[in-house]
Amino acid sequence: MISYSLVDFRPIIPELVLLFFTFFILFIDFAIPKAKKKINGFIALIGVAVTLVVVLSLYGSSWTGFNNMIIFDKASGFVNIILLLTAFVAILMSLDFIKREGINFGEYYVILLFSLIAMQVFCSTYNLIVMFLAVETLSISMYILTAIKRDGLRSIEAAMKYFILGSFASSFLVLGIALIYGLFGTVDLLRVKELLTGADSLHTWIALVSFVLILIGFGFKIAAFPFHAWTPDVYEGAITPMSAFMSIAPKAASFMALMRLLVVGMFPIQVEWVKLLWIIAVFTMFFGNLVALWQKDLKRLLGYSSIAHAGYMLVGITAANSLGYGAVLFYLFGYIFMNLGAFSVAEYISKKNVEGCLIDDLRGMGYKYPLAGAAMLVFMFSLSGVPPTVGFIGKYYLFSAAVKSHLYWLVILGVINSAISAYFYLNVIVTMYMKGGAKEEVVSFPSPYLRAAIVIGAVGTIIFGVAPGSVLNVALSSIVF
Amino acid sequence: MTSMEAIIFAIVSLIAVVGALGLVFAKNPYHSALWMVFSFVGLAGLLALLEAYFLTVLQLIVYAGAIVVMIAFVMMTIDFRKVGGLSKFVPQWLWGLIISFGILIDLFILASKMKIDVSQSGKNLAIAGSNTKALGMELFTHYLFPFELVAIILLVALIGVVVLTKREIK
Amino acid sequence: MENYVPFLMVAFILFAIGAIGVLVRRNFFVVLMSLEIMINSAGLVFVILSYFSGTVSGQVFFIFVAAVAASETAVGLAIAVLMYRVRHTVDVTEFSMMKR
Repeated sequence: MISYSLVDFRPIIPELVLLFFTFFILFIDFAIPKAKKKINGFIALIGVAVTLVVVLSLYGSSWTGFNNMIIFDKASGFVNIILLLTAFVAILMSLDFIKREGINFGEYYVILLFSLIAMQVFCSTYNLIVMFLAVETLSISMYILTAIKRDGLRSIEAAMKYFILGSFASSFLVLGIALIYGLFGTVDLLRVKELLTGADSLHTWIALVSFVLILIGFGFKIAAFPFHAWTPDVYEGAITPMSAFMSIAPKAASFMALMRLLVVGMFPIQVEWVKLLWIIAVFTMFFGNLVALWQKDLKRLLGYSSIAHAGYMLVGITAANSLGYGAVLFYLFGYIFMNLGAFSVAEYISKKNVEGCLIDDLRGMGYKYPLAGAAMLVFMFSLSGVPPTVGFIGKYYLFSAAVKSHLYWLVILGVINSAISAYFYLNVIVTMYMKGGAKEEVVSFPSPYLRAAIVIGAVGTIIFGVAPGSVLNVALSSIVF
Repeated sequence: MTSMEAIIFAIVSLIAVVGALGLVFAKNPYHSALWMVFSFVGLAGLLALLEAYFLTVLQLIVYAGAIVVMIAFVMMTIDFRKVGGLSKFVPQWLWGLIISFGILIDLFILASKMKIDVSQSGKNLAIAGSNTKALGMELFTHYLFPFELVAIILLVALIGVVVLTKREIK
Repeated sequence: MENYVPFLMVAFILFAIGAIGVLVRRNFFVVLMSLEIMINSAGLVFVILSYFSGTVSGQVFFIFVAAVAASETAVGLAIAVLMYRVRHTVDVTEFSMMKR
């Protein structure tokens, strides 16, 4: 007979705190008059900040609960920090934006926070069924948030494509989990690891196939090569704060879950999955960077660039050493600032009811809005990996982890990709400063919160690029497996 | 398998597969919905054959009942000519077929190679003769946490659907 | 019953038929129903393996999968309603404003 006690609730304290604020918004939303819906956003902001403080104070503890269904360790603590920071900046970006676009519901924040809770669960479990339920909660929230601009042609198109491909991928995920369950009689990755260690070659082979099926589900979330097709459309079609949120938070949680799956559950067949991941990483990098060369829309460009960055992070996992895993976490941390910043600038010059944002619209922006222009310069340099920005440090550690595992070709291909990517990132900067004035005058979106988001991004990109020390140490030491 | 079981198995799996084929290749989406009921009834038969009696009823009520009604109801709110008059296939239908057959062949090889321990086959599925009781015990003790997560999924879907489809009152 | 291969074969055939439906049909509603078939047959694999390995947890997972499938369908139908509202069609190929 299994019994639960209060001790079981320790690993889900951050989730419970956030859940409290989510329900608070859900109930108080009825009482708030239409003109003052911004209060919901502030409550969400406070909720995320409080949860961040809670996670920081709990960081370092190691707990399990609910029959090993959920754990809290250093790695999940660090990913929690990434998720909460991302949500904080994304809510800052949303506050005025959703009012301008006429979608100012309290439910927007409710669903955002629910998806955040799902991600927190996703990154802190070894149980495949809990992973599946978390990833589904997260996907369903993302479909809704993509379609939340209900009269936008592009956003509906994006939501439709996202929905079809997402559900398609998740049925493969279910199938993979079912086969793992049939093979080992358990869905707990720690047990799977024990059973797989002494398994014969046939079992290993079937486990690898089931793992590939699960990888389809996860690869879809991180936008790895054969499952990337939704990314550019969704990033272009969704409202900008959501594209920004989607480009980091679900990826961070999925990378953590992928590492738990590979490094713990699939540890006995490491040789095989390293080969597989090598191929996926190379194709993901090349595809993202090469197709990005021809893009005219800034959000779409960032979509392809995020595919390429997923490729760089896969290099860190392919390295299969703890330096690589830590480097992935640090890269995700740095990616918050540079990518959210770039999306914030895209939002800063966006026009009402226009979902896309052409790169040509940036013409002359560098002179008209020197500060935003300078910030964009920093973000683009960081995304292409120029020192002294956080992008450079992150890439340096990812590639040095691969060198440590003697994957020299992978590193060479990665560096070639960095060089290719410099072209289109620099193109944005050239457009900003050297292509003369725009056909239409650039108009900025006057929102103090959005400006705060840009400033946070720029400052973070530079500070963690110049002095990465403490965060880097925390990221590298948080990997315990 | 005894011969009786084999016959029942053949009948229900034929119903499930024919229903699914009918769903995919029917011209009219309303007919597709009916084929889906057919397929789900066959699936429920398979579940009964596997002694999952609670799930059989669940399958009939939730899938063949509620979900089909939900889909059919939404289709009814939309102009028939727009829904029914579509040409059937996408231009790249051949690729879809090739990919699906690839998946099918892979999975077949997998099924023929799959080796599981069948010494416990058909046991432990019921407590005191009740499958529901065994299921409930497992669901509410061992899998309590995932059960709570399912509550969040349903809540998110509920809120989301309301947000997406409600019209503003001007 | 000792032979699980026929059961698995049926489940996999259903899965592949569902995949065909998702990949070849134009009508969003039919795509939605095919997704339903796919996820349901994946759930069936859980029940098959639960029977033959003699553990009841596979049946519990089927309940989870069913709940997820139901919520997914609800959201899919909401998207279908929105598609109809903005373009007056549910043809998935009509929605191609953004180029590849």
